[in-house]
Amino acid sequence: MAIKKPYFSLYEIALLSLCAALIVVLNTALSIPLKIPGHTGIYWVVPVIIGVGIVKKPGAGTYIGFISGILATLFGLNTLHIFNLFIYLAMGMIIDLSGFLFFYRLDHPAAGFIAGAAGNLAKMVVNYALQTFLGIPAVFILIGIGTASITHFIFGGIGGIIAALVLGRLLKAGVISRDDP
Amino acid sequence: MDLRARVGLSFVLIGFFLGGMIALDTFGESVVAESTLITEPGTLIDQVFTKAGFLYGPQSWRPSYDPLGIDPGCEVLDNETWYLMFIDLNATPISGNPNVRRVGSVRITYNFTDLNGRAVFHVYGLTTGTTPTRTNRQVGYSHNAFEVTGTDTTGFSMPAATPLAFSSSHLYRVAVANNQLEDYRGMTATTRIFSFTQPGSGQGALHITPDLSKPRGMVTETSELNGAFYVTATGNDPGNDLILLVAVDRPQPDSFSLRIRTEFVRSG
Repeated sequence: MAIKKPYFSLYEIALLSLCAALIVVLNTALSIPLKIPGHTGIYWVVPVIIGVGIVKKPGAGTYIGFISGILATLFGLNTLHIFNLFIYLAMGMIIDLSGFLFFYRLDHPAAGFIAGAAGNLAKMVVNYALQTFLGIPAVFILIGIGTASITHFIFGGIGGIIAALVLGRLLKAGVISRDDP
Repeated sequence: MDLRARVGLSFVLIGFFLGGMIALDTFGESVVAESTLITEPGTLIDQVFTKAGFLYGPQSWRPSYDPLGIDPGCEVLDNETWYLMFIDLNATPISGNPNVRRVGSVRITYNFTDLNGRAVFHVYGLTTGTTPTRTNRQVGYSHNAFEVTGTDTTGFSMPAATPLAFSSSHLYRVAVANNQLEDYRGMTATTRIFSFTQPGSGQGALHITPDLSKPRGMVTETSELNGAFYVTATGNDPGNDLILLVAVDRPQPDSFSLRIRTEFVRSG
């Protein structure tokens, strides 16, 4: 009887889970008092992009988002509690999509920038949508959303470039290969 | 489509998205204000309240995780009794980085008629989720409140008032005196929920001050029956709706009235 091969190998599951846990660790350990919306994207997107860039399979980013969302909810990182899951999931799914669209060439700085920026913007949109759903008047959300979008774009993009550079070095060092499944 | 073309196309799409967000920021207030019942910053409330608005009391404390005093700067004083009126101001101060948010405070203009004894103003900021309800600090560093003293004849009763029951779950559902406002969280139109999660939680985010150059607030005592003060916010989340607490230390005459007008004052 042929054994059905799992979609993610044990190595890939372990790697993606560690990346998800790293997001929660970074959120807990790092506190940058910038008071600029989206500034956490500079480190938040890095583990997701690295995970997607190494595993190179659709669903990798979604898995990272799902696990990190569960962990963030359990550790109470945000006042939104279980709704945290949607924020992390949205970021993971968008970076997943970006990886697929860019042929998993996330070591390319421009592709990394786009993936990071798009992930951070998706996080912003879902966050604001949840705030509105939970009762914050929409007009309070709209005030400053233009500037918030730009700062999310910039910080997410910088995080994406950082992740791209890390992936590039891993490729150069032979730790990962461009042809890995 | 090769990688370079996809990257270029992605930049264009994100550019359109950012342009849309900037357009929403610029024009969104006028669109949203027409389609929702939520009052935007800057909207005036202008209402007159009689002594029938004092729905709570006589009691010596106001709601928080542990009961807070009402006399400015004091803990709960058992030898004092107050009558409480909660007013939904339909406004909130906005704090934060002035480079990314339009920060501002709420100016409250009051006009007393036939006030007897002391009237003290405190504020609460309603929040969502598990964030504790905000209130102005009662004691300690930068405690603040606004007190007005009147000399009219004593009233004999406050027929609408009953003491607010202490809540061991630190959650209070209070009725507001201005029933006209529809509550956007689907509660009954006349009540608001105060929720406190731990001792001291929620204090320090809102401040009452007569002078915007002193945004962290102070205790102000005056005998002027007509005047104004500001509610300012510091910290990340001052709440999304202000509830004004007006407390008087004795029954008011039947001719008592209090006019409250609010407006949002941009400072950023």
